[in-house]
Amino acid sequence: MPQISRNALLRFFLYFIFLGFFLSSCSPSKPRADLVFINGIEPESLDPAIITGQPEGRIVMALFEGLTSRDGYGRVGPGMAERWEISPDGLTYRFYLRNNARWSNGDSVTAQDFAQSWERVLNPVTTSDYAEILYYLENAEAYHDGKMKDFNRVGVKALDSQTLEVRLHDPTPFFLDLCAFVTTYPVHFPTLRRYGLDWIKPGKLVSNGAYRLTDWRINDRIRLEKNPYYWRVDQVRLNTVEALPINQATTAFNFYQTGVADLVLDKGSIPPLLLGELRKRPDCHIAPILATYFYRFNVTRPPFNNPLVRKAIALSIDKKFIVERITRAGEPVTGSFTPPGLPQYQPPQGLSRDPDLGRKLLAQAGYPNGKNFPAITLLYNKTEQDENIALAFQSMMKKELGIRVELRNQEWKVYLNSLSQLDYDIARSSWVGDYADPNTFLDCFVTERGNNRTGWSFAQYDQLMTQANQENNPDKRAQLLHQAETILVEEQVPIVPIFHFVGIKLYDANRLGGLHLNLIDEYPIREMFRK
Amino acid sequence: MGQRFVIRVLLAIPTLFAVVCLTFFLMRLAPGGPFDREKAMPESIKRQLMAQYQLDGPVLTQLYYYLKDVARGDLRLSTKYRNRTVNEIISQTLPISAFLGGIAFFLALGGGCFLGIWAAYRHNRPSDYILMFLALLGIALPSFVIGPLLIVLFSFKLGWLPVGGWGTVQQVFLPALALSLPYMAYLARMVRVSMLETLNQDYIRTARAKGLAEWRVLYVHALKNAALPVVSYSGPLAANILTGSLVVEEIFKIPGIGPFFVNGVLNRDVFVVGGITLVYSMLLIAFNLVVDLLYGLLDKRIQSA
Repeated sequence: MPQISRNALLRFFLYFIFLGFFLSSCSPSKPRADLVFINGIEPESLDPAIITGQPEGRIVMALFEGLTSRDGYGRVGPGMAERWEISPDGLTYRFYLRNNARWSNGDSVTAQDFAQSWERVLNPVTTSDYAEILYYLENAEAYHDGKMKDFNRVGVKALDSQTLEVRLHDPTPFFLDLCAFVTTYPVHFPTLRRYGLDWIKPGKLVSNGAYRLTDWRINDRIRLEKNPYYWRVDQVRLNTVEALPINQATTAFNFYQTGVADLVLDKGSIPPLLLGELRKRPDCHIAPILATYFYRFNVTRPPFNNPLVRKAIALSIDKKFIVERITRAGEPVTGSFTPPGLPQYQPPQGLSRDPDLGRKLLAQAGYPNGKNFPAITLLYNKTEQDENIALAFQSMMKKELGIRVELRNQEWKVYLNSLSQLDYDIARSSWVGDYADPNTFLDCFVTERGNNRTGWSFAQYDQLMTQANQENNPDKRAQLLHQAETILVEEQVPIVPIFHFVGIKLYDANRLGGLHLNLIDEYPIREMFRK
Repeated sequence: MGQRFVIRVLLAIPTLFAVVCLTFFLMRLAPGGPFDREKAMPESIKRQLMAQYQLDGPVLTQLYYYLKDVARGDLRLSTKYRNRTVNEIISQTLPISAFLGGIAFFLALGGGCFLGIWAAYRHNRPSDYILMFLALLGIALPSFVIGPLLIVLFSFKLGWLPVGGWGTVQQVFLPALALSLPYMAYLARMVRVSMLETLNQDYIRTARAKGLAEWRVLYVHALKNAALPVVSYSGPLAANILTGSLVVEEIFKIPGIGPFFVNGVLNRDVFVVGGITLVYSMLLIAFNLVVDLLYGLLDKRIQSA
């Protein structure tokens, strides 16, 4: 190689790079969407039957609509169904679909679409994570388990193309709530059959909600455009919407702060270090959501097979310290598992802090001042906040009860595995409600439920829960649920609720409207508008 | 030469085979499975999923079928992104990482050589000291510090460049810089040392005595010999930039492959990790081959050896 050419080569590369930079810096950029929001993580899927997370749910709720739908306040109202009738025993629902219910390709949305979509959710082959949302239907659980093969015996039937009849095995007062939940949304079968797994990709997906999917680049952005066939398209005010998946809180905040994004919806997208500063700003909106942070005991192992020990620990946690010094977003401390604010339900007080009583109970259990108390470990998955709470818990136990707690942190999947294998003593946990009813919380601790993960089984609790769900009178039902929760958080204490989460949203209320902070933490994009 | 090349390529096959097997075993042996969720799913559904993904039965059988699929070029479906094939994820995200990495690579190489030569030329003068101090700083500061610093300076204070994202040219500057700076600094120090050695040699004095322009002496005569360590470093450099882009991609929100690799491990997304490891290994092998070839071109002695 002649020497001069190598020199030229180097120069060529440099010129090439810089020329490239400046040439393409003149390239036109795409028009900004009417709303750009930060959507936590990259959606795992947009298939209503498959998704489980909030970031997925937000997009799917914009793309699809169920029989009912939520408004900007989180209240349930009509959706694809224009009206419905409920039988006096609360067991049979008849939904009447509206005439102008359309898919984004112009096809009519029919009652058969719903029946078929629900069959798909319950069909074990679909492996829907959230199929249990439909377990309230007659025989649905048996069909999902594969014990019953005949779908005609499951409680959903299209009487004609616009009438859907649903039969439940128990009166389920929150069933209309469930009909606004993503898992119950209809899907477009011709598209599904034609494209298989690819049916949810842009250019292929046919949806029935306020928006249609125009672009989805992995980990980059999702772009939505108003669906002209949507039945109340005249009320949809944002024409184009972009969702950006951003993992890192600081990155998300940079995007918001420089105006690239208008709205941050996840608490996880807000840098914890800036929380103190941000809380003072007018564009920071904080409100409680339907979620609880709690510790759970493995009641199958000593010493936690003894309710006295569990109670002693519950009484000795300084929850106020945790929310004021560690989480610092204004989370309310709690003694109950169910957050306050649910319709027709007032959760029990739970145990308030009383270390003296705690010490007494511990002595009664045979461990005066923590003497002879076995070495126990606290399991958590490693995030900074969980670790700080664990450290605080460790020192509280030492100080108040004389108990030594060792900390064990595990990576997320390992932690989940330890939980379900009951391979822990005490474990950090949280639970987010799916619908506005105490059942979404209290059902977890019924014997052998997949989410129980404590080994706790209490006949009276199970019985109260069953009774409550068979009860058609809302007041009586609330009473039964209250009794059940009292057992859970005051008497048996397989869990210690610590605080309820708050949601933190960043947006300028002078420029973006139609968002009303609500407990269920859902914000339909079709109701948002620019001021 | 040709024969050596063919042998090297053939040797890559057992290497890749071992890489795939090892990755698969490690991923399957790690505690926690791809379908462990915060909200428990019924056992029957989990079994069904494991069967659909061919993750049930003995691990060796699983591996056998997986290898068969890989040999056909089918890297299977992601267990987390359940509508996406690994091929799709890689083909959408790798080009972005490769583009960013390519720019950072040439930036590091060009900038490192230039600064190194400059420092050697100004040996023991203030500009040499300043440059070498900055280089030391560049090596010491990881990209998760440099990235935010660049954002604060160029996006927040000066308002010249966007904070992140991908799609326009302005969005390339900061991440490419953040990604290349540590390597540029390392290269600058390396080039300086080897340049100083070369500049003391007789043939350089001869070149100067011939009356050649100084830039010719530096960039043509001296650099040719001084560049050998740079060439051998450029293989690992390319590999480092490609696999090390994770942090920069997260800070600047670049839809590259990096986050999928790391999150794939955390999610126990065995096929995503398997696929990306395979592609990374192939690239590493290719880089090393290219470096060997280049080396042979620059130094004839190696060719015959």
